[in-house]
Amino acid sequence: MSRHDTPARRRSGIELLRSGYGAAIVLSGSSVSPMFSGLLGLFGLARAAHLHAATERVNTLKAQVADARQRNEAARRDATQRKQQAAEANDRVAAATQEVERWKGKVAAFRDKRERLKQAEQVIALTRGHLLTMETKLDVLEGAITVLDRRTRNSVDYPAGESTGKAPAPTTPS
Amino acid sequence: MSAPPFLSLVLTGRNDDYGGSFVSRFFRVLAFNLELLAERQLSTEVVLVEWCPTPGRALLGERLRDALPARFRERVTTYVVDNRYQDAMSLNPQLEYLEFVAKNVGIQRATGQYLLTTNTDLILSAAMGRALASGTLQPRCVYRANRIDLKLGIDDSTLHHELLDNPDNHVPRRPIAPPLYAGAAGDFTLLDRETFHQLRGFNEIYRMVRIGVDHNFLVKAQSSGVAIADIGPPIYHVAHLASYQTSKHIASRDQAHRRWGRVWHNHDVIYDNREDWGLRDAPIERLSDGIWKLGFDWRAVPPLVDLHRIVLPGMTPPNG
Repeated sequence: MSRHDTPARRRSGIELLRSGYGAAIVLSGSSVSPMFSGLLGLFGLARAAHLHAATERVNTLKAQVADARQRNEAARRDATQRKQQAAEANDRVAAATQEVERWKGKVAAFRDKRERLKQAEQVIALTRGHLLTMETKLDVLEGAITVLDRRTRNSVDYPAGESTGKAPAPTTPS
Repeated sequence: MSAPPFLSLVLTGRNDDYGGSFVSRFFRVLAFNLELLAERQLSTEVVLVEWCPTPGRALLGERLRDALPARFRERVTTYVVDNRYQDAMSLNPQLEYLEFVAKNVGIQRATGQYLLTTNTDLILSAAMGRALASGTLQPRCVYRANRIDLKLGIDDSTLHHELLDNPDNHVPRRPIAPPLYAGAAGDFTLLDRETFHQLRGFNEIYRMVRIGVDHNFLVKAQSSGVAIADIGPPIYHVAHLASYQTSKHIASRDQAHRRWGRVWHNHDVIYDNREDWGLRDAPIERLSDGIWKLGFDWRAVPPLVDLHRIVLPGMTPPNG
């Protein structure tokens, strides 16, 4: 027994159905032979079971189509949403890239400043060194002058009357 | 010709009662140190530079020769430096003793493999004797040592290791630290003779001070690529009233300038001594066994001013 040949259907007898492209008489029964079915076919008729099965398939296909449409719609919505998200993400990436570039610029500027600071420190250290060297040399010069001054004073013996500490004679305008 | 000794002790002093009872303290300390080194079988010579001896007094070298045990006498060579060198070389008329020029005289003439420039009141510890004899000393390394001051007034009439090593007799002092291990460096500067000569001794361009010249030598050594290390064991110093550590707090400014000179840039500015450093060309004559006199000659005296020899560490010095 096919799944369409239910007892209820067998009881229903002949049913008349109208299809989309013409009228057809449908006979229902369990004892219909293939030859009879062929004969029915000559008159544009079909067995009720076949009709039911076809209707079921149509309904199933309709449902599947509706479902597919629904899924398609959902997918379309999803795609649109994802496109939007992708666009947003692209915007964010672009902004982040811009930020990274900005920071790169800042880091480069900081590095440059640090390098210049280092150079300045070296210059200061060197300058300080030269300053200390100059001071040391001045110490030596001062010491040498002191020593030479002392030697001069000790070696030059002025007669008592020739004091060099005399105040100079006042000058009068002519 | 005998082989050069392993160690030369380079000292300077004169018979002037510096710090009170200088002579007896010096003889006692030197005999103790020589005994310690002899126990360690270290061949040692003593180079004593008697800088500008006090007129009218016996030479320190002569007194030392008479006072030392006979077995040590031949190890001592004294160089008596003519008094005129002090006046001819000094750039500070107040300063009475060009200590590091005197030490350079000794370094220039010492023959040991290693030269220890130290002071006459510095006592070697037993551990120091072991360290010197350990065979681990390396050339091109300035060895420094921590100095432990013994308490003022301690009975040092007889020196022995129990007295020295007893912590109750010690005055706390900050330990030396890298990189220079500075701090009383003039008390213990040990270096191989060749490197000492390469560095041309202590600063004798800036002849105005007595303090800080030892530190300045360490700065020069470091800037010349010579290593500096703490040898480990300490040396001892018997405090006395004239020592810098004791009297720097009580001396007047004038007294301080006369004894040590004024503060200078010894941490930052170094020197390049002339090739004839250490009065190399001074005429020499023998006075008696082991005592030589460096006679005065202007040709041995460096110029009063030699400014291009005052340099910064790391700068290429001029050729001698």
